[in-house]
Order: sequence, then C-alpha cells, then structure tokens
Amino acid sequence: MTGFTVDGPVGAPAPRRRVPYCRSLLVGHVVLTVLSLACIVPIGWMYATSLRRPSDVYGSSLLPWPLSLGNYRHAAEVVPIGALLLNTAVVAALTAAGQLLTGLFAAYAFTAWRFPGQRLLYLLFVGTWLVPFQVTMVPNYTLLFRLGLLNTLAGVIIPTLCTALSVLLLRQHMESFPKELLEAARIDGRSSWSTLWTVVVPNLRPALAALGIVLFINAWNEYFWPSMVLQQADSMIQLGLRGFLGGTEGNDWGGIMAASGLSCLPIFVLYLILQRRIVNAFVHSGLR
Amino acid sequence: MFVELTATATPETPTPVSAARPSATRRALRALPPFLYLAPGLGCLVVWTYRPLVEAAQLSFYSWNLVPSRPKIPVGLDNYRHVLQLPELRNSLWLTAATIVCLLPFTVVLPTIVALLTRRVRGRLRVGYRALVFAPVLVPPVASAAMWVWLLDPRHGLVDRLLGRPVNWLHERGPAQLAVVGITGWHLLGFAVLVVTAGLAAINDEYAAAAQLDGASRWQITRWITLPLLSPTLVLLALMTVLLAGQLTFPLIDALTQGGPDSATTNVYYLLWEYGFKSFDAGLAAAAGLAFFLCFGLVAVFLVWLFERLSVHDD
Amino acid sequence: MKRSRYLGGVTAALALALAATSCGGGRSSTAAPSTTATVPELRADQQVSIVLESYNLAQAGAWTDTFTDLINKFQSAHPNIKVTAQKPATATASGYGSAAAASIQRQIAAGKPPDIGQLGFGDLFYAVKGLGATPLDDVVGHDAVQATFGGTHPFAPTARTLGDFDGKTYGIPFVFSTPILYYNASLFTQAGLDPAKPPATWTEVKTAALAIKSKAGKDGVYIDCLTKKAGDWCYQALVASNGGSVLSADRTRLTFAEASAVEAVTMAQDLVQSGASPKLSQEQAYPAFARGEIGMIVESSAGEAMFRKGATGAKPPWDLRAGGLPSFDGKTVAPTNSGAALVMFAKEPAKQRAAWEMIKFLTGDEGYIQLTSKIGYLPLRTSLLDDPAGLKDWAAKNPLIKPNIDQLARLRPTVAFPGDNYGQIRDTMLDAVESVVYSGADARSTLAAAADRATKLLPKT
Repeated sequence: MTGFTVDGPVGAPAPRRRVPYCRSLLVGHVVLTVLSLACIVPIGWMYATSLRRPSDVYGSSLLPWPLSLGNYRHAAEVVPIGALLLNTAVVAALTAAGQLLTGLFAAYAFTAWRFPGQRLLYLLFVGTWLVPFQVTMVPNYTLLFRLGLLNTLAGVIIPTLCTALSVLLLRQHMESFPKELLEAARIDGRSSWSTLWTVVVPNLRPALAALGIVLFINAWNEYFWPSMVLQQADSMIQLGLRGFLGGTEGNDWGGIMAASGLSCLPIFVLYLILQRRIVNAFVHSGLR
Repeated sequence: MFVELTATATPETPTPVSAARPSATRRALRALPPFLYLAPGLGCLVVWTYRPLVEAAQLSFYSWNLVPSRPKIPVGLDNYRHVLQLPELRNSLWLTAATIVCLLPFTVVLPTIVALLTRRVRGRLRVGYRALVFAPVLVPPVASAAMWVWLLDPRHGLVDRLLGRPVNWLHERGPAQLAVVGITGWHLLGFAVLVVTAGLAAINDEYAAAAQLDGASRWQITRWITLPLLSPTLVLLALMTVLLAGQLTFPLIDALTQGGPDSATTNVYYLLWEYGFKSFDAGLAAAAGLAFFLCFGLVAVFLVWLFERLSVHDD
Repeated sequence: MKRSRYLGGVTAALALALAATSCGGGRSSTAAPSTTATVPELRADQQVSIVLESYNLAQAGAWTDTFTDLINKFQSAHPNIKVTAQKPATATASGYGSAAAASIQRQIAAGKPPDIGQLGFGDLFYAVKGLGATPLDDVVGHDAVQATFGGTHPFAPTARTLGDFDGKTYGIPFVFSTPILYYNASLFTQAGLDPAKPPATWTEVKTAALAIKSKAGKDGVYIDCLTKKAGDWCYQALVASNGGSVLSADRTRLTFAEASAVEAVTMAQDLVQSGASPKLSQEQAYPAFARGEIGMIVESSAGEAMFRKGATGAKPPWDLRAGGLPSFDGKTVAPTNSGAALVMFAKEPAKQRAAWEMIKFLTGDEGYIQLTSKIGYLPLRTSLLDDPAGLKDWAAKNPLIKPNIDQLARLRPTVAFPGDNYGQIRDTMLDAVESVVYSGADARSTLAAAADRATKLLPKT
C-alpha cells in the first residue's frame, strides 16, 4: 500500500500554464479551506464549549480561556463514563470482528465459486439495506428474550454479526484479486480453507484492517438497537449521553458537550492514527 | 457498491470453475464448500433480518397488538389500505423527493469538486483537508443531535451569532427543512468524498495523459474525460442518496424536530414511524414496514437497471 | 364511563372514611364486586425478585439519583424482595415517556412484562384495555387499596380515582403536577407590573406579556401546552378551562374541534401573532425562561428545580414566583394533571404481593418527601407539607408549591383517548394545534380537519 496513484499526469502541470494553474490552485485552496472549516467548526465549537468554565458556557470566544475541566468532571459525576467507554469498545470490537469474519467467508464463497442461486443469495445480502429497522426490532427483541440475552452486551452484538457492507466491500477486493493465484493454490492441492488463510487473507490484510476500522466506528456509533436491548443501567456511551439530554434540570450545555466530546473522542483518535489506511482501503476497493 | 452484480451475473455454472463430472454425491460434496462459507453470514441474515420480515408479512394481514390475551383479527388488506391512506402521505412523499434533491449537492456535486481539488494538492495538506472533511462522518448521531441543538440555539447558538440575527432554526418551517438537509449533508459529505476519490483512483490515467499530449486544457480534460469516466460513481452516489435519504435523516429528525414544525420535516420514513411503527397495532406496523420494503425495493431495482445502462464507459 | 368514575369516587370516599375509623374493617355495599381471594402476604423468608420500569431512570442526574435512592431504601426495608430497576426499551431518541407503553407492550409480546410500570395518565386506558394491567383490587382487595390512599398523610381526594377504570383501581398516581404559571417577578417590576399579582386571566396575561416585551425588552409568555412534544395534558386544561373537552363523556366522539376548543386555540394563536409569545419549541423555552429571557411560562412543576437553579444562578439573580393557570374571562379554571401512575403487570401471586409493597412504598410518605424535595413533583399526600417530619421546612423555603396544591383541590382528570391508536389521535390533535398557534393556520378548519382524520383512528364499535 504505497499511497495513491491518483496523481498521474493530471496532477503534474505543464510548465507553460503555470500562472493560471497557480491561480486556480489558489481558488481550490480557498474552496477546500471553506469546506473544511464548515465541517470542523461545529465539532470544534463542541469541544470549545466543553472546555469553558461551567459558569461561562455561553461565552463566544472560539478558543476558551481559561481552560477548565469542570464540565468533564461534572459529566463524569453523573454517568460512569470510563465504564461506558470500555463497554462500548468491547461491543464495537467484537461486532467488527464478527462482521469481518462473516463478510470474509461470504465474499470468498461469492468469488471463488460459481454456484446455483448465487445472484439470488447475493441479493439477499444487499436486500438487508432495504429492511427498515422498525420491522425487525420487535421479533428480534422477542428472540433475544427467549435466548436470555436481554440486558447483556452479547444481546447487542449477536444480531448485528453480519452486515452487507463487509460482504460487498470484501467481494470487490477479491474480484480484483488475480484468479490465477486461487487456481494455482487449487492445483497445489490446497484445501479452500487453507487457500483462504494462506493466500487470500494475507493479500487482503490492508483492506481487512481498514474495513475493520470502519465497522468498528459504525458499531461504536450505533444507538437504536442498544437502547432496545440494554434497559438496565447505562451500558454504552451513546445511551449514557442520551441520559444527559432534555433533563428536568434543563440542558446543561457544558456537561452535554463534554459527554458528547468524550463519546466521539476515541473514534477521532483512532481515525487520526489510521486515516491513511481507511482512505486507501476505500480507494483501492475499486468502488466503481 | 452493491450494484456490482454484473460481474457474477455472468453464466451460472453450478460447478467449481474447473471440475470434471464425477458421481452425483461427489458432485454434491464438491458443490458444498461455497454454501458452507456462506452459512454463518446467511444464517445471521435469515435469523435476524428475513425471519422478522416474513413474520411481518404474515402479521400485516391481521389486527393484533402482540399481547397474547388479545385476539388476532384477520383484516385482509386493510392495513395496507390504511398505510396508503395515511394523511399527509402525499405531502411527505413530496418532502422526501425535495430532501433528496437538496441532498444531491452534498452527496454528488460538492464531493466531486472536493475530490478533484484535493488530488491536486499534495502531501500533508491533502491529508489534512481529507481528515477535516471526513470528521463529521465519525460523529455519532446522538452527539450530533446534541451538538446541533446547541449550535442552532436561537439566542446563544454559534450559527445565529455568526449570522447576526436570531433565526429559530428548528422551530420554523423553512429553516427547519434547511437544517435537516444541511446537517444530513454535513454528515454525508466526507463519505461521499471518499467514494469519489476511490472512483477517481480507478480511472486509468492514460486517457488524461493522451489528451494532455493533444493539448487539451485541464478543464477540458476534467469535463470531457474525467467526469464521464466518473459518472458510474456519481450515479452510484445518487442512487444511495435516493435509497437511503429517508433512513439517514431519521435519527436527526427524531432527535431534532420530531417531524415538526407543522409537519415541515415529516418525510415518508418519519410518517411511517409516526403512524405505523409507533402504532400499537403490530399488523399496521408490519404493513408499513413491508410497504416501505417493497416500494424502495422497486426503486432500487429501477436505479440498478439505470446504473447498469449508464456504466458502460470504462473497461 | 362517567358513571363508574363517579361510583369509584364515592366508594373511595366511603372506604377512606371507614379506613380512618376502623382500620378498613368494613366494606361499602356500593363497591365493585371484587370478592376474589386476595394474594397472600409474603413470608419473611420468601425470596422474590421484581422488575420496576420507570422512564425517570432514563434521565441521568436528579431523576435517576432520587429513584435509585428510593429503591435502595425499599430494599433495606424488605430484604427478601429484590428489585431490578430499568428504563423503557425504546427505538427513539425523543422522549422516553411516550415510549413507556410501547416498551411494556414489547415485553409482554416477548413473554415477560415488568412487574411494575410507570405510565402517563394518557396511557392508562390502553394499559388496562390493551395491555391487560392487573387490577390492584384483585391482588390485595378493594379495602387495602383504599387504605393506602389513607394513612397519616392521606392522598388528595381528587387524585385518588385517577387510576380507576370500571370500578377497580389499576394505577396509583405517582409523579404528578398541574399546570402552573411561573413568572419572573424581576421582569414584572422592570415592566412596571405588580410583581405580587400574577395575571389571573388570559387577557391580563396578554397585557402583561406585551408590557414585558415593550418595556423590559424580553419575551412575554410561553405556554408549554401547544406542541406535540409537550403532550396533551396541559392542552386539555386550556380547553377545559374554556368549558370544552377533547373527548365526549361517553368516550365515542372527539370534541377538540368544537367552539370552546377553537376559541382556546385562537387565544393562544393571538398571543403568538401579537408578539406576546415567542415562537419557541419546548426544549428552547424551558432554558430560556430559566435564563430570565421570558416573563412567564405555563409549565408542570417538574421544571421548577431548573427554573430555581436558573433564577438563583443568574447574574444578578432574578425573582421566580408562581401563580395558578390563568382563566378565560368569567370562566372557571380546570387544571389537569401531568405525570404518571404506577401500574402492575405482575401475574404471579408472590410477585404481585412484592410489587404491591413496592408501589405502596413509592407512593407513601417517604416516596413523596423525596420526589417533592429532590425533583419538584407535587406531594399527593398533601398534609406532608404541614408535618415537621415531612416537608414542612421544605415548603417554608419553597412557597412556589402553593398554587400547585391549590389547583390539586380543583383537579380535572386528564382524559385518555380510547383504542390502540390513542397515541396517533393525540399527535394528530396536537399537530393541528401547533400549526394553528405557531404557523398561523386557520383554527376552525385546521382543527376540524384534524378531528376528521383522528375520528378514523377511533376504535370501531
């Protein structure tokens, strides 16, 4: 994975058009800067509010001064943020791992074989995007009850163990994978299982990692299903955050912004560290 | 993404790619592996998505509130009739269409511009722009709702302070519609940029190089080579916008406006939620869900067909 | 329906009188036929576990803390009963209160409802007819139920029958308020109004609001009764105060488009159009009033703690005061009740008994001392306010409770819409009201159209 291949000749300007190029580049920077600001200022304002002293939450400076952790302290007093973050991380990690695995197997089946009903089965995966959440929620709630999984983290994880996104993306990757390699492995007499783990997975590692991160983020941000399953005590960060909103004591914006900020902080950090990988995985997924 | 059916839709031979013709049992055994690999994912789907859907299909012909002690009354197609006769259905469909149209700039136009511009920027700056534009994708819905209520507060919100006048964004018709579209767009922009960037990366650079040798200007290359080659990606994004707009805006509407003020932000999905899914009549809820599934399924099929017709450019 | 309510009231009063004199020995012959055997008391060593579902537990801070506290107190008094507390299972981020009944329905569908649920008064009818709530009279007997309404600090007479249907008690009123006109006396002074005299009629409200707007430069009045988010309890008070209703007495016809309702809504519309009332949503108006930016607000006392915090925390602090719901000229005010009742869904005898103990405790003296002093709900055992061991000291420091207590004596029960679609009927009505008041739609035709649509949602008879 060595970065992009986007910058072909298009990115290298011919010398004779240097002047207009510079001007258009400048315009480009302005446009990008404005858009970037529009994207980031709301988030920045959230953190700015959360870092003000609780008494001047209504302040208007973009950079709060003096900095104060008062709002965070308050948020931590009201809900056990540490425990919630840990629980959410566990759920998100297990969900992402499960979705990767089911996606990997299914994508492998779709690319390495031709079999009857293939198109139909593939549609079955894709079709899940059209089933509204509200249709599945009651029957699934009932089933979880029968399985004794209500109010457990397992109950949050198990129904979401397969997602169309991972099947589709991994299939894209495998499609662009040279068929000859699979063929060679077969001629070598390797089982399909060993081919999967010794040929396919090592080649897919960057894509798997990136997809894993995306799935982790999705699971982290999930709200509706956990709020159905986890009725007893706050167990995940989104539910804890919800408990802050619209209280009888009114919206304590400092505390809410602190809790909101904390609920996305791990994701931001993860993204900042792994940004390049995520982008690359998408870029190379051959999303056409 | 999911429209890549064409690849596998090619002749379906029921055997592994290179197989002889041994006995029936051996052939069956040989056909087994793909299904074994599919089993975990498929099992999951069947149990957690399609079983409920089938249950809903059955329920949709009854009037029942799921309470065992109450009777399950067969009502034929009444529930569907009820869904189709929902008050404001026309208004909400119109609003859904308008929302989709207003979202397209965020999911198609702006991402194209951003992606085209960022690839001309190099190094850290490019990474920076991309990271900033992508950041909203990462904000969870509840945090986003809290953040935007605060930003749009008529007296103390940042938005009105910047504008210099108190607009009550979430409580006036026009501004509320604008807010829902704007915030949804804000969430989607980063993802769409990523998809377009991927699409650009997949375009063979030789076309552009050849054109440049022929003396084509940067704009000409973009207009006559890059954009046409990019069109499948753009159609795909438009398709996702159309199909998922209702569901994507739901958490925001739910948290910010509850469909108000004066039903100004009640799109089809939210209307079904209000009258169908939230109803204590499970039959009606099921009918609403199924109607949604069928209608959007049809829309999806049509769009995929359109997509396949349009995506003959590359390769 | 009306008749049985009336009967219920009579029996309640009789039973109470008896309970007070002879510890519930006798029984009035007018009582509903409830000769069924009651559920036996728990043995001291009998271990029972029950589940309590309350929407108050969905809110971090004072709500959850107060409830956890109460539950712990109950546990230590009843070591053999294990209570699991939970919040409603919901698929929405907006409002746990409205999700409460749906959550219980889901759990019944799954096979096990919570043993006690906390449901709004608008949900009660459905809880009985649709969800098969357990009549408390069948569990412990009519007398024992009525006896709990007695005690050293008896329930306010008007609150006793709110959970009754067809002559049986299904729910014990729990968290509770009536609509109160809170006002910012400091703004009143600034506007040249008498801060000791809150407006008593809507005409006076409008005059005062416009004075505040022009002289103090702040918004005049916000009535938190006119949006879907606010729920319909308080809107019902407005309509009833103008001599109307939202549902006919025989519960078969919607009456929220009739002249008196139209008039009430038009009054509110006029407040908005004249500039006396700002166009705000509930969640905006609440904190705006607390910050001292609105002169008056009609609100449940659940918001009082926040207003007080805002008033004392502001720089300079402002003077928070309260008055009763204003009247329409020459008509009697009909305050309704917000809040919820505790309803039993337990089916096993042992759990029923344990649930009953829990309900008794939560709606007992200790329960109200906590709910009133820590959250701001109305103490339905009103004499607690005169008891030094109860809320006397608290009441001395919080005179704001007074109009609420006064209105409790003149309470008009909040009406619950019939059928499985009661929630949609309520929303349809409030959507229309909201569009009239805040978007300037024509009151008569908009309400009439809404009533037509909502009539289709009534149960077919």
